[in-house]
Amino acid sequence: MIKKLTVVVIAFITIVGSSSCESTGICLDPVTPKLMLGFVDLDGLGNEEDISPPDSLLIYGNRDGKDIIGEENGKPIYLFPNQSQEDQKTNLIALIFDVNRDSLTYLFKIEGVIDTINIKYHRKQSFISQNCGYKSTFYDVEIKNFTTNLILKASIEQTIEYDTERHLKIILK
Amino acid sequence: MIQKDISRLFLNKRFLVAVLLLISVVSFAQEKNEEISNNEAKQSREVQRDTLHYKYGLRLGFDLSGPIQAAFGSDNLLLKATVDARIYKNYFLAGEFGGEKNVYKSENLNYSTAGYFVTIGGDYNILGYTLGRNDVLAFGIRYGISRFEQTVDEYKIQNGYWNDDAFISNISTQIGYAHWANFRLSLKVEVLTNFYLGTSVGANFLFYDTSLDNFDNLYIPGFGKNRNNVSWVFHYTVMYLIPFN
Repeated sequence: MIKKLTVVVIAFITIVGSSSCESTGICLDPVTPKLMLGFVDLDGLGNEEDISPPDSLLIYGNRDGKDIIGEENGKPIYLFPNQSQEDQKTNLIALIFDVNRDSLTYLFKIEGVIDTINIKYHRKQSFISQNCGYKSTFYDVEIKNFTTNLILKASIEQTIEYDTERHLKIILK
Repeated sequence: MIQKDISRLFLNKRFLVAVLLLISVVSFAQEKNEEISNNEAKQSREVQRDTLHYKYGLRLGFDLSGPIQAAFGSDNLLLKATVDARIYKNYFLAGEFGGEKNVYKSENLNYSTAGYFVTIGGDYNILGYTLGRNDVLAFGIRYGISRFEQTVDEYKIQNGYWNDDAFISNISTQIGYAHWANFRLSLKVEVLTNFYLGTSVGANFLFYDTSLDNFDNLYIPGFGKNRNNVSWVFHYTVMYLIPFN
């Protein structure tokens, strides 16, 4: 009786002990937010209306005077349209924050005409989880300057913690 | 390479369980032989059952899983001593104390935890009094306390488009405390006179831990991996009973 009971206990301990296994280590939580860009048009009454990005639009970053343009099979790869149209329904474009700097520069190119926009911000790192580590969030975000070849107006949210909505709003001429 | 495979084999819980099971089976086999040869003696002992008394003493133990891991090159270290003593029939006063260091390394986060812990509580032997054997199969409860240091060594924030991921290192060390309750089922088998091998499985429930600045108590010495304030613990122990009677 006792021997049987002991064997059952050892079996139980083995099963429970072995099943308390390691977690998979995959990061599923939201991470560092992207900078969500949306274009807006004004109707005759001055009301804002979300519009889709212009057809021939190209977007790329510039850091220390150097354009960040990838290349594949001899063809240039821009941040947009190649990589990052996050959500077709909301017409938003996901730009990427530079988590190593307190400012960034993006260039917008439509049919050979270029505009530059400089954005500055402060960074803060917050702990998420064991699998994801830390994420960066951004505060005191502001547009330092922009050129006006294509852009009529531009505005940005002050604090950016999630990338579920538009942060940067641009009205083209 | 072969050495690594061997170390993996030894670290595998199932392997350790198999070893323990083997030891238990051997000890049972011995018991069986004794039973057959000492059948008459046993019968005469049964007559004296009422006059036989429980074996009292101080049982000191040492946890095996920690040192085995460390011996095979793990960065983690657990040194744990256990103490228990029968206070009345099937009731035991029991406790543990020790130190633990745990290192976690992954692509996104490296941290380490080091600290000390003490637990105190009791065991109830559900086997009751069994003739000729001093084995214990017990339900136990412990109250645990730990003091520890949590150090975030380095973390990474991806910066793919700009071509340089941010590595932030040497961030902070914070001191914390934790309190928890432990419930366990443990088995102690006397393999040689006064010499025991034990295994236990249990669950820890955290009810207090110091909240850290911009980090969590992901690992707590003595408590283990903290997942939603619960952890599973699984241990092997070797023990020696200092008899009093």
